[in-house]
Amino acid sequence: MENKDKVLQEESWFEKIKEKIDPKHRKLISKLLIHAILIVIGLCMLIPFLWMLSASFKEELEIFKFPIEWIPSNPTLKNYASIFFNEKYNFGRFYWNSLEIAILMTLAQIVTCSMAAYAFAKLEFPGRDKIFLGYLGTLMVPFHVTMIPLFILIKAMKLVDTPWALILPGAFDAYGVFLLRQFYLGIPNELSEAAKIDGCGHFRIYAQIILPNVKPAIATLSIFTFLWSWNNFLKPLIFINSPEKMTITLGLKTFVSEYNVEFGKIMAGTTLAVLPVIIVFFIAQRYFIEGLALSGIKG
Amino acid sequence: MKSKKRSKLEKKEILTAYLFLLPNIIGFLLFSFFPVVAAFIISFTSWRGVGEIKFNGFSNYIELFSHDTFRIALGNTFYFSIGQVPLMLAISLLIAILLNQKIKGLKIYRALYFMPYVSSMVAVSFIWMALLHPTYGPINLFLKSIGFTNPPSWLGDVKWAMPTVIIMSIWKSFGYFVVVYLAGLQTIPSHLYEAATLDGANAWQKFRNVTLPMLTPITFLNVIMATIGSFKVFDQVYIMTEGGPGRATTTIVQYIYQTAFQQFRMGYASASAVILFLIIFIITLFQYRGQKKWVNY
Amino acid sequence: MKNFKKPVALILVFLMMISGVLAGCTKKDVKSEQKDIGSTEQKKDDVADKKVETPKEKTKINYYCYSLTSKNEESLSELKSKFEAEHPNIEIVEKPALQGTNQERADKLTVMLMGGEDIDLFDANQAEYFKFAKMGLYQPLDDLAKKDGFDFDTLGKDTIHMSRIDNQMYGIPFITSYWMVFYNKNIFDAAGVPYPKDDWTWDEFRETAKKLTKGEGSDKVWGFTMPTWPVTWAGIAMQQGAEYVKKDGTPGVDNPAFKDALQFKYDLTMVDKSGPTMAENKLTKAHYAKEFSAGNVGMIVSGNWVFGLIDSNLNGNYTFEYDVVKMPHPEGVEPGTTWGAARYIGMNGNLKGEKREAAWELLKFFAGEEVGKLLMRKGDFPAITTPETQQEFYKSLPSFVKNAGIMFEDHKHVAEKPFHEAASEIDGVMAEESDMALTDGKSVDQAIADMQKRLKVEIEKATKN
Repeated sequence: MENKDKVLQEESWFEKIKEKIDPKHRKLISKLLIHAILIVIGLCMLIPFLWMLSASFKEELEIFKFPIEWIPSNPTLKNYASIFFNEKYNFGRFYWNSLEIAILMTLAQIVTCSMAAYAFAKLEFPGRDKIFLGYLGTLMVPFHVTMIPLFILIKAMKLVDTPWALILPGAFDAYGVFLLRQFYLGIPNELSEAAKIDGCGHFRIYAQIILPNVKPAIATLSIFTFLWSWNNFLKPLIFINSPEKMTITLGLKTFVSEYNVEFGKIMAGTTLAVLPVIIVFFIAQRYFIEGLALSGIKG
Repeated sequence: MKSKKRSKLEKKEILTAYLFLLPNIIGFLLFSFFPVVAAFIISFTSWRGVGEIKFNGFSNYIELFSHDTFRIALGNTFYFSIGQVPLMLAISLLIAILLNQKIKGLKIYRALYFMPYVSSMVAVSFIWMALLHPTYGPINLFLKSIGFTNPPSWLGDVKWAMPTVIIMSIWKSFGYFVVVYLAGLQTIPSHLYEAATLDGANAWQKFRNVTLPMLTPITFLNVIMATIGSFKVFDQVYIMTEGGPGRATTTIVQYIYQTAFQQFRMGYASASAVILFLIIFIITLFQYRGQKKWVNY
Repeated sequence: MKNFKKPVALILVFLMMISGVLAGCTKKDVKSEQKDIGSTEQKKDDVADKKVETPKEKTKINYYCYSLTSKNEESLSELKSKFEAEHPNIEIVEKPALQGTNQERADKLTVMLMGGEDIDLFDANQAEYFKFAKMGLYQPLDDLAKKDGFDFDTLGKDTIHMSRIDNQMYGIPFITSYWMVFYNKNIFDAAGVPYPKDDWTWDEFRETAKKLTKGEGSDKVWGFTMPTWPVTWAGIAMQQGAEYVKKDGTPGVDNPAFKDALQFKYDLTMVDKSGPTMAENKLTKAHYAKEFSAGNVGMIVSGNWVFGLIDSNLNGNYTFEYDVVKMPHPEGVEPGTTWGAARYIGMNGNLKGEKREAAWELLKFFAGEEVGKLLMRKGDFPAITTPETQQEFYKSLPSFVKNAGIMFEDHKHVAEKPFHEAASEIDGVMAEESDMALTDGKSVDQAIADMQKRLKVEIEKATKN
């Protein structure tokens, strides 16, 4: 309890100030204070993005003018035009590649993981726990550790510089199996038992009883798989070589060449990379945040 | 109890189970399990990715620890981790508590803080590179305008580069931990606070004696996740500093990338990957044991 | 429940469609004689050879085009049409090079080659040349040269001598570079400073840079700028005869000339502040030519390729006039001593049979006058210059550049990068340690001492393997 006294002493100045304030106003002042702090931090979050957006509409020479002109006086679409109508850095192409990879990977992951999770959660078969332990074991091993054998494997399969090099390794993620299994376990067995008595096979139980019950979990898993794929950089960096097959992150990076650091174009590129995700995030905020709190998804 | 001979029904169920497992397990074995095993094996060879595979015992590991760039990369990664994790979690907790005060606009604030987290590290790295530009960057121009005549060159300065990367990384990902903490705070039963108020506890005491202990499981999980994440740091360093100036921001993953995909010393690079794995393994083990010992459920 | 089935069915159909399309693409890729480097060469080669033997089919050479495309795309099509007219059975297939920094480009090329990508002909800088040869990505060419009576020595005896690895040539040095100083006449005029002369010294350079430096923020005028590469300071030591690697195989950075040279660059950027610091240049990824093109920089210390960069930055709309002058020299060294590096082109280590012969034809073409003209037109300096190729060069320059003839004068030329198996590692160590010194992370003395220590390790490691 010594600690407590110390704390009391330390905090007494705070109490003194507090006592001086009229209790009626106390609540209001503390609320205002909280808002002030939250707004300042919120601005720290927002300002870099606003700067990016504003710079992307500026001529090269105006970008670094100080004080900052938040709303460009001579807005130009030149930067966007030059990156969209550029043969080498075609951002439309990059978008399509990222989208294709993210969608295929997410779909494949949902299908294979939800099925495997069903086997682990609802079916009995010899070696089940051992196999599951194997899954759990690889959970700890990040991509960074296995990227070398994976590169050699992908190379042996002649898939280097194809979208499959990015889709396949992510399509069977152990984490998806683990997460969905946890959710399946939460569904009472009575539900499926009843269906079984009605003569349903396992596939129907899986598709018609289990899956609809874990929709939020699947939505969360989809969102984060998609996001992770969309934002991933190291994998494309290793596996993708041709400009026409690059994803948005790798495309953005290669766009900054040794001899031309043109911040207007770079900011137009980053805007294009960031904006769709932010828009989707604001629309589907519920799934992002509640899903995240629900499942404690990996960072 | 099970009979020795499995009934037809059981056999059918086993078959069904394998069918359910099949699509995933093939890919899992190929793309997850095999690479893990292979990483260990390759680390004991002098393989260059092509040609003959020759085992060379522990010589990769011996060379690794005698090579100063690896030691520096290891040190930098620890520096990053120690610099990032505690500060980030403290800020996240503070903001989560503020957000939990039944204030208006919770959703807007939360969304704002979460925004960098959903953006790609590559994109935000470019934004920060421009903002932190030593001569033209708005940050330094602002500092100069308020009287700092000689602001640091941030990413270009040996002493400032790592702190800058750390601060930028905190900015990028603390929103995630805010959301997790906020969810945790909302599970704390309100009667605990009511009881504390009846006992005459002030805000700080409530925090110390109610909030913090109730949040230990979440804090513990957050520490582990943030630490593991911090050991994988790569994108922002690769883009903003390329490990420089000198080797001031070279990290383990970057070292693996360099030795594997620039020098094509696959065996040697795998050895450093195994070291990274061991570090993460120890942290996970720590979590597993710690969960039992320290966490108040 | 019905609601759920429909999307799943749709998704499956979609999946199959896309995978069908993609699988189609990958199959095609695999078919086109893709080869695994090093493994099962013989077997696969037989297949490739058979393919070549089928009548009327041209031998295709996949050329990873980097050096020829950075200024104008026409160069490549011109090269293609001229070469194919002379060699009707050979077709050049272009593989566009990745954009990005030089480092990224080199890294990615290595990954592509190691990943089994179909690239037959590709070029390399001096450090990469040794790396590629050592990794088996380039193959020795001497037997082909002997058969044709091709003499490598015509491409520059010294360079060839130093490029031999175990007495074998693994590529053709088809470009050399020539370092000089580019200066903005308008900035000199505005500051009232006389234009530099060809026999100037580094001390004069330093004084000139100081006089030109002015202003703040967006009005800033820098006296000079230079790339971030270690040669920008180490070159001064080499002008005096110092070497990265001594004759006995030990690192030579302990030669005091290196320390003085690094100190000199430190003084220029950190004491005089007459040029952007290393920190700044690194963060902006060495946009030295861009700043010069914007008219904010009095002088650039750089190589002949900058002609092309300025031109493409400004697109021909010059807002200022510039000229070039010979490299400054340290006291007591012959004026006009400069440095440069060779750029090589070689063929994939696993080419055999007819494909190898065809690739060799193209390699020889790269050493010839036609490619020389194309190179000169974009400011690159071919290994052999003739009055004709020089004419192409003068035609490409803006009229106010009067002194470019210095490139073709007799001059002492020292190698920019070591001719050594550990060339890339040496370059890396020198860059890292000098960055530390030039960003105040270490003293110059300490950086040089550490450099010497680390180079010893790297050189020993490379020669041991």
